Amino acid sequence: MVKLKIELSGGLEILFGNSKEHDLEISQANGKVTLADVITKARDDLLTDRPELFMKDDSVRPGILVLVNDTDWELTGTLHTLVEDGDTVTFISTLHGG
Amino acid sequence: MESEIDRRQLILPAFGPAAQGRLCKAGVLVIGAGGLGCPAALYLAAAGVGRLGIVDQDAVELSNLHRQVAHRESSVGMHKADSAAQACRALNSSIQVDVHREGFTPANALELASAYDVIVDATDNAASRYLISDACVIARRPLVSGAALGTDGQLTVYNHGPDGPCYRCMFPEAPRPESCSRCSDAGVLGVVPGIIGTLQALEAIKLASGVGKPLSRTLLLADCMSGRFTSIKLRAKMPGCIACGHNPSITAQSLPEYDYNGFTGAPSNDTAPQSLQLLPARERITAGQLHQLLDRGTAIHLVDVRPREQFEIAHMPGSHNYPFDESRKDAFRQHIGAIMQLAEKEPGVAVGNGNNTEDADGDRRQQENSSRGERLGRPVCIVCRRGNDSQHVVHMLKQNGFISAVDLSAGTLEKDLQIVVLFALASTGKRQAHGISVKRRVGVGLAWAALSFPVGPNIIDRGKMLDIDGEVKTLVEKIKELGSPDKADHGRIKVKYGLLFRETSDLFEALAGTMRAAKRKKLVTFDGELLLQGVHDNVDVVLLEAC
Repeated sequence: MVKLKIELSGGLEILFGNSKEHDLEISQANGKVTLADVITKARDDLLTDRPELFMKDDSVRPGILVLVNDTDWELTGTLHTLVEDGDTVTFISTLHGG
Repeated sequence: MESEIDRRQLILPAFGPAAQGRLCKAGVLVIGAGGLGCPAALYLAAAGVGRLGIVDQDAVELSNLHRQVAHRESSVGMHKADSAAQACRALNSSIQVDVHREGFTPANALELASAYDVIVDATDNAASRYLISDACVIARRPLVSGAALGTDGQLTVYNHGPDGPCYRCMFPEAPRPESCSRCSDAGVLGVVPGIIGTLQALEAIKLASGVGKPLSRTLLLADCMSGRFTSIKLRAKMPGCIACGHNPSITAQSLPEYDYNGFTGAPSNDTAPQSLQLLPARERITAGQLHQLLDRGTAIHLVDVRPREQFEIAHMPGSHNYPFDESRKDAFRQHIGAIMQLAEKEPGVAVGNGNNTEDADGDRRQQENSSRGERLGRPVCIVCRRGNDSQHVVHMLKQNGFISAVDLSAGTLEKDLQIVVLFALASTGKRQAHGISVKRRVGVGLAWAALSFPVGPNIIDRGKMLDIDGEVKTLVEKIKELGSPDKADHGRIKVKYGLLFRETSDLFEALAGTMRAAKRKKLVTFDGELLLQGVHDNVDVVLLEAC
């Protein structure tokens, strides 16, 4: 069982019951949990509205930045990044307003 | 350099005369003179940047002022670039301020970006952000990118240093248009872009003066409601990036032809959506027809489906607000029962084109419909901002067996459509509205007026106060620009009436034409006389009601 903190920012929280912080627990048979698992589980357990604005195919939709412990997931292995107990996964919608 | 203004930063050990000297020689281009660009430009001017370029193609609106702090109430209607430049020059006359009123476009992007040392992206839409990033890559300029929405802000520096990513490295695929809210739709707490714009000035000053560590490969997130600022580590530039990678397809040659609006699926300007034709004409009524019906005492429920914030700004007396969001139709289903219940209360009259309000006809129809199990209660007129959402709602109601609903079609921009436009009494503190009816080829401005306040003269006379002074001021400015036969009287102009409008050009063409046709004298009078008084068969504006 991996316990994670999920954070939402940039307006994505609206899709997650208007709450910017959530807890998420995932258990995988082999004990290894990837960001791909986290995204799917977040959609299934936490998302309250409009999944098409969160996901596209098996990943997040364009314009959403994913961070693991405040680091761009591009640096950690994108969907294949392994997460551990106590990690924070952040989903940020890029803003355009000004 | 000798300016008193800059002295406090000259003696700062981390900055000093060498850095200030570089800043004084540098040029910074601020693209967008809005919520981000205003504070950015003001701080850059105050810091003494040598040359400051300001790009914007829009005019100042009253609704901008809570966050676009370089503009003043008196500059409503003025070009934003001019207004911001004026504020910067007033703050520091020793700097050069260039004004670019034509906006930042694929045609001028490379020329503009190349002419400055640091570029500040203070725009409000995805298409501009991709364009600016691409231009900065080709022109080899660092880009300070900021964004704000609601109570959140984001800030980073793109295209800087050996490994700094560009905007396309971060977001190679454009986001869906519906996930890109604008401040004009979603709202923004004014101080949030102020904070981000100020930080943009800081990053631009660091880059231009060669001091400090710019926010390259770092994204600063500001969660202003919880007071949390977080810095996150970003990827390096992507080798496969089509703008800054090893083999770019976006080049100085291809950029001017690139379809940025097509790529992002959204235009870079804030144009209104197309008019929808979901309902047949007989299920729609115009503002004029509704006005007549209400005037006759017809019992109609008015259901206003605009967002609560818009409803609270102004609405027709007695109307009910059930907000509708096209992207969340399911959420509206909860209101359908309430609307149907509303309609149960009194037997009503069928309303709609071709089904006029003959009572006998209505009774007969009601019986027929009852026998088919459909319900014909008191009629409901659905009102929205543009005449699109209202059609969706009527459609949903009809699907639920409720047939006596029509929508207000004032969004239909047909030739010769009668549109009710409001006149405002602007000379007193209270802005009581009066109506005129305009019969001409209407533009967006008139449609907006009718839709935002879709009411006839007598309805509005029932005492609804509207806060429309911004538009009135714009009109007054325009009228003043047109001049009058007797310039000496200028100082005494007291405008008693103004047209309510949003986009000025189309409407103003009409006004100017009318004024010319009437040699202005009939139209512009002084000291509380009617501003517009021309009554001509062949002119556009007809005043029906004086006050």
